Amino acid sequence: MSNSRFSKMVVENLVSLHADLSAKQGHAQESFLSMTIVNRLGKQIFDINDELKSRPGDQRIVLIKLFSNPDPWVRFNAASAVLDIATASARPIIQAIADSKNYPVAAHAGMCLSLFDGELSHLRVR
Amino acid sequence: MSDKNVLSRGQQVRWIRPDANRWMRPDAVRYLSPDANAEEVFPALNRKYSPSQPRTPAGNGIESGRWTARTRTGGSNMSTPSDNASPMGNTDFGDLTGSSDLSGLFEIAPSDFSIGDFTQLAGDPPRGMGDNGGPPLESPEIPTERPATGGPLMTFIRAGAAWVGAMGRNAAAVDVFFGMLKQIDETNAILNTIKSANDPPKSLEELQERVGLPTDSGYEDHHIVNQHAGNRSVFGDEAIDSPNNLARIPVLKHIEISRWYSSRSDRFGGLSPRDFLRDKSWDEQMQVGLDIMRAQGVLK
Repeated sequence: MSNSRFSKMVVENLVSLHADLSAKQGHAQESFLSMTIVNRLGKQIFDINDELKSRPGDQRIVLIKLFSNPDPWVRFNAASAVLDIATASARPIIQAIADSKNYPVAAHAGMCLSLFDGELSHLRVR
Repeated sequence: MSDKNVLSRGQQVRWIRPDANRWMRPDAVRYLSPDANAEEVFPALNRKYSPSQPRTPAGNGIESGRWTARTRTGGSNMSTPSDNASPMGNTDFGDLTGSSDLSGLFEIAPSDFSIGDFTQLAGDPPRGMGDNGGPPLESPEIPTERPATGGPLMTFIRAGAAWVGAMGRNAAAVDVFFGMLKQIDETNAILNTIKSANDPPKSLEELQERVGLPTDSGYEDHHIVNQHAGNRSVFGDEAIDSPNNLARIPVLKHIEISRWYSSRSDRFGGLSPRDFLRDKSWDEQMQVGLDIMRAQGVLK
């Protein structure tokens, strides 16, 4: 379903907003802000993913641009969004974050991989 | 070498010199409780004086009587045969008293130096000061009073834990940090929470050894399969509170695991793991519970 707020935005702006929201979500996690705030930001990120997916040719692939972002939460959310369609490039990004021991984002990355192709993959919503 | 690199190198070197205590606050001991053994808390103090340490001889053109790591002749920095026994090469920066980079005990600069400049005596220097998302080298600023419970307190604890993990538990600067922290932490709760956050991963048996025993400061008993009302209704209190479903883990890890369970994920169809797992079996919930403990570095 296309979100009306995001449907009018050009791809470049959606990518920029994805990074901005991810950074804010990471700050909220690391500052122990309310989970309502964390999840509200997460919902907007999911909506951007859906908007990009709905565009011709599945435009989520443009989120690869964020793989070099210095913020691990931005890299994690971008790689997680394209993990199904660009596994070869996204998986190493998430693995590196999981291996960094930079918690809590490292734990989120580890669980993402466990659900993707690890021992919890049978639980994943496809 | 840039000014920044010169400063970084000086900062790095001073903490691995045998006389590192020179850069410790002269009044650091006053932050200890009256019955504390100062030399035990600040091991660097043990190295303060050695009658056998060589000193600069008189009449050689530089201030005599100062401790020195090697023989110097004529004020020259030229290497002498004795330098061969000095694994770090020339580390004498002269008298740094009054230098602006000594203004803060914890102002340790990033390890931005060429490893080729040194012979490495210990493990890798703390990493992650750039864009790799790692912790900073500077210790968190010690507040003048106990941080407010909740976000500010936990943010301070996480920053402290990351810094202690990066510096190494036995670093002199970490001892000083803990000594100062005791002044605002009468119960040692903050101190113990920071310390426990750097525990290495343990086996499930080790994590369950102390379950049910009196509380250990810095640790909490964690329900591996969540203890919410829905699970209690389905599985029963006996199973939920069974020692097999409990593990004593560091407080910070407990909080972060709980927050992960509440974080919505597209991998769970936009639900939080806690909500997604509500209709799943005991074994499936146990599997997720053990996996997040591994991902958090709690469980081997």
